[in-house]
Amino acid sequence: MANHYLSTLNDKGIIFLSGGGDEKKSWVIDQKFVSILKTKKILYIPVALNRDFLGFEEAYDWVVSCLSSHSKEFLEIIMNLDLNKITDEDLNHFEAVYIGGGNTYKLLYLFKISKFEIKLKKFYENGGIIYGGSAGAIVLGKNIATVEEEKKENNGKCLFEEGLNLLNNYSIICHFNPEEKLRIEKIKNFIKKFKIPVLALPEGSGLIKKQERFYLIDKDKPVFKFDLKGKFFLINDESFY
Amino acid sequence: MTLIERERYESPIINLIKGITESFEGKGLTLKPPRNIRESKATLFMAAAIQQLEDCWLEASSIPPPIYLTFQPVLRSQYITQVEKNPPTLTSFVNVATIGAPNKETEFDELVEEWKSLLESIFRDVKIETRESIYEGCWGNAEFTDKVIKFTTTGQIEVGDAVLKTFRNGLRLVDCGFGFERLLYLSTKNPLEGINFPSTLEFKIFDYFRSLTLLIASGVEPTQKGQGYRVRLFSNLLTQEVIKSLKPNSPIIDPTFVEELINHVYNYFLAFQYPFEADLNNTISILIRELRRSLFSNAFMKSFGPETKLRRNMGTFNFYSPTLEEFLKQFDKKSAQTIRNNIPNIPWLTTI
Repeated sequence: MANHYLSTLNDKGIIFLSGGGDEKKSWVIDQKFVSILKTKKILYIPVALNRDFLGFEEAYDWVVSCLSSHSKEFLEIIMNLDLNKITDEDLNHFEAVYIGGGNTYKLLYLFKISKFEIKLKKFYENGGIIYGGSAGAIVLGKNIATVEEEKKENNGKCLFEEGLNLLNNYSIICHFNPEEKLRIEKIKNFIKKFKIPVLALPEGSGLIKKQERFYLIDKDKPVFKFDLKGKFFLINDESFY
Repeated sequence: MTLIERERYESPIINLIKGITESFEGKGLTLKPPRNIRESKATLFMAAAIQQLEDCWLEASSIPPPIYLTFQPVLRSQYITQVEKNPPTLTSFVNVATIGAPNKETEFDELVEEWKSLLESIFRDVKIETRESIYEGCWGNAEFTDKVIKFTTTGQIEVGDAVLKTFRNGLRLVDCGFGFERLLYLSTKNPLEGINFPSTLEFKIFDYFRSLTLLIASGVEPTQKGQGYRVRLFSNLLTQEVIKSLKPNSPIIDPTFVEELINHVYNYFLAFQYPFEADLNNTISILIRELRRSLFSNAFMKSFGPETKLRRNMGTFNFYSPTLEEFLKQFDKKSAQTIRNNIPNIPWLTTI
């Protein structure tokens, strides 16, 4: 795949979207993400996970191992579990925010009630880099009801569905399998109800968004777009709007 | 500047350890010594005393022991951004806990009552409130349901919690755990006495020194990955905080103070019979060497951006040079001066 677009990018105000999967599947996007960092300071937000203190330490060990493997220089990765206490000044210490996967409704709920959503948007507008994996990618879209089934896992709590809308008015779905007819039906129903187009990312695929354009991480790992008519087609162009 | 005289801070710690131990030994529980924090399977470092029983849920054949008392030093990376003085929230602390498999249904409830009345007798005029909740979670592939009794003071300070953990395979474990430093703070009502914090030092710096001392003295070698990553992380964070807060009269400029601080922390954890791997002198020398490396590395990265040739070749330079002058010999005159301009004035770190 062509790397030239990364070298010409101003590497500020960039969003990385990962379709999910284990560290082997996300290897390419993780490598691209780490390669553009200058100060190498990353804030890790794992709060979408349903974990206790020990589970979060496990998650931290995992993300450090995953990302450090892509860097010769030391990566300063700091985990934060309390979004209420993150100030704009705290965020400015970091070059990138890595939002991990889990329950999308829980994640969005925590973003909204802590007002972290506002701080994160400001961080992005000021040139910060955001990496969203799975639920972390979905919350960056316009509406998270693409994964409506996750409401049940969140004890039915669904106070918020409007996402951060940082992705050109697209909604996102991850772990997408174009063979899964049931999933395709659900996405079409979502579009019918909300009139929002959807970008569907299979595991191992990824997108970078910079200056209103999307760039495919790996041309061999295309993503899918569902238009407002519910028709879906493969995107393997290097970039699109 | 000197730290608090040992006699002033030692007795509250010893008294509290004694009080808790005697109370539970009187109920028939045995006291078990702590493990080295590196001896953890589920996580890189022990984050809770209950991890002394990891084999019970990681290996089905392991037989869980009856309930015992332990004082286990632990490391919690999640608290890096939440370090607080009053009440203390620390990245490394002693998790005092009664853990094990209950022999009878009522054993958990009895333990909750024992801890409640013990804490109220220790805190004297502070009452403890408890609140029950149920939590479903997993550690690795081991799923469980927790009955959690949270202990808070009437002033809403979280003290700890008692957990009855039931794994999907039927294994049941009790984990009644508290932060020893927080109990000390609440029992003495004086943060200086409570956690031996020298007030002339920024609290975050004190906390990072504690965790760095615990890691290095536990035998962790500083590296970019694995367990050593934490040493690098804490030394970088400590360097950044030191640089931020540096003033002409900062205690951190005094090398004697720093050695006393490491000594102080080392002896604190020894009070719990913690099995250190490195002796005090080695710990001091490794810690100072690591801080020096971090200081040089910090100055280098500030001096040269990632697009520069020097930065791209960062791996070819020796950041473990024993003095600043030795370190700067690796660069041309102009680059050396740029780096020198970014090094703060901490003589004991930049010279032997």
